Amino acid sequence: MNMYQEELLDHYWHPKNRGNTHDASFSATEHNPLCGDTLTITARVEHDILADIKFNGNGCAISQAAADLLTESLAGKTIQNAGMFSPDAMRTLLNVPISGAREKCALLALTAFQKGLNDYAHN
Amino acid sequence: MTSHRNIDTIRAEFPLLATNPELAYLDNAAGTQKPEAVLKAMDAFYRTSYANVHRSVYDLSERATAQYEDARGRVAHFLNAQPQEIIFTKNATEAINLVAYSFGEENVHEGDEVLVSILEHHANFLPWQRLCAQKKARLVVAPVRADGTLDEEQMLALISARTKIVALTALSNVTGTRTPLARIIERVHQQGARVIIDGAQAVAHEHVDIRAMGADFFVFSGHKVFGPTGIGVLAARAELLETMQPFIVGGEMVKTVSLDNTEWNDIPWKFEAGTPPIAEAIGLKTAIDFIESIGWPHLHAHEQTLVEYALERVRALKGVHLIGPETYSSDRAPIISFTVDGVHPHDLASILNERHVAIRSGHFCAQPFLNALSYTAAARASFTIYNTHAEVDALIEGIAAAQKIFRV
Repeated sequence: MNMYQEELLDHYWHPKNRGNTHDASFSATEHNPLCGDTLTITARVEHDILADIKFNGNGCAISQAAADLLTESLAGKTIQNAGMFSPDAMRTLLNVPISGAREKCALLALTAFQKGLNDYAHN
Repeated sequence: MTSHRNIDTIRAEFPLLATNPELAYLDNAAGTQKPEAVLKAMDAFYRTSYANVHRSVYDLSERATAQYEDARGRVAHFLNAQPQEIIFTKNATEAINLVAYSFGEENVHEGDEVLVSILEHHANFLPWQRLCAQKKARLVVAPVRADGTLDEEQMLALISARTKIVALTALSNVTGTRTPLARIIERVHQQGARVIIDGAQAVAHEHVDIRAMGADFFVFSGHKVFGPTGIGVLAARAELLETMQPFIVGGEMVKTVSLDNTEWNDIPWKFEAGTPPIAEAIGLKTAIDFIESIGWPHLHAHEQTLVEYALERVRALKGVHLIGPETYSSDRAPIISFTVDGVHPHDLASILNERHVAIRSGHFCAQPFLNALSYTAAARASFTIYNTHAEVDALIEGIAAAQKIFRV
């Protein structure tokens, strides 16, 4: 099976969560220096729940589709639960074999989210 | 020594290629594969002649020293320099850092200028950017024309009495175009400044004569010319090296050491602190023997047919944009960079990888250059003596396959 399955490409071409969250509680940006990918996650927290979460940025199909899948999966979760979302869970969500060199692309959105959530939790 | 072996014969001399017949290795600008002769020479050194160099009187150490110094002589001959003008480093990057530190430290002061071109690899950009920041000097960057080639007139105009060092690549690792050096080097010298030429790409594609070129400093890496990793070369005019302080200090680079006074060794050893890359130097020497056994005319002719064919086939694809001159010219090195509409370079490289075609994707350590042309990333295919027209075809078919997957 190759990396570029129909479902993944669909998230890349037609992302549901691309944009900026209104009244964001936190935002964080990550770069992939290897390929120039940039990804910003914005989220609004209401009563410890991720009421809205979106992404913006540009880059390869893997990083952008992963961001759409991640934001879709995290929306509505408590921040405690969302904070436990692991790299393995991200790989499962992508459901395609990610080669070692593309790990960073696959995890870019998750890294940005964790950074933003961490800053939010400590402020 | 030159023998006109055909490409199949040459290719068969590379064990990695011979054992991976399905692989199209098109990332030669990053590093070439290694011929059997290089691997054997390094192996034989460890098996029959290994000892540390320049230290001991026993036969084995003398044999190792002789081989190491013989390698230096071979590199000197390769570049038309003297053996004492050849310093072995870890790679071209370290060689440039050596010059930035040892020459820059004493010769660049507040208000001075260091001139680079925007074509430079980060290795020939960051050492100068840092030096200028430390010295409160100004880093001046010469631009390229719209086609991505160096604007020679603008670069000439930027050389002034304030200029102390000019750092310039001989051949772009992105566009494969050669830089016009002669007038620039002449102007640099008229202004009493010094020029360092990054030859990391050039040495793999042309006969370099640093005397004729007029370079004060010239650097390259072994691993891009069929040699091993872990070895690079700084070639510099002896009278400049004599005036420079060592880059790093330690064992082997001194004549006498006392608690309050130390006398540096003669050049080139003054710049080679610690145990040097001995086996790697022997590997590099053998790599140079390999190149010269093929002969520059044969190598050049083969590379030219490949790049001409590759450019022609890439140009015929819809939605593919070449970075740099799009048409073939006889001074074009076999490096092509491009983007594909609707397919990110990393996705393209992954799809090509699934088809056993290895290309580079990203910014090629030349971010200022790509950004100047409004790119953040691109794909690059680079060829050498063992590549074939069939591998160009595999590249083209792979690009077309990626376009199909991404429906563009």
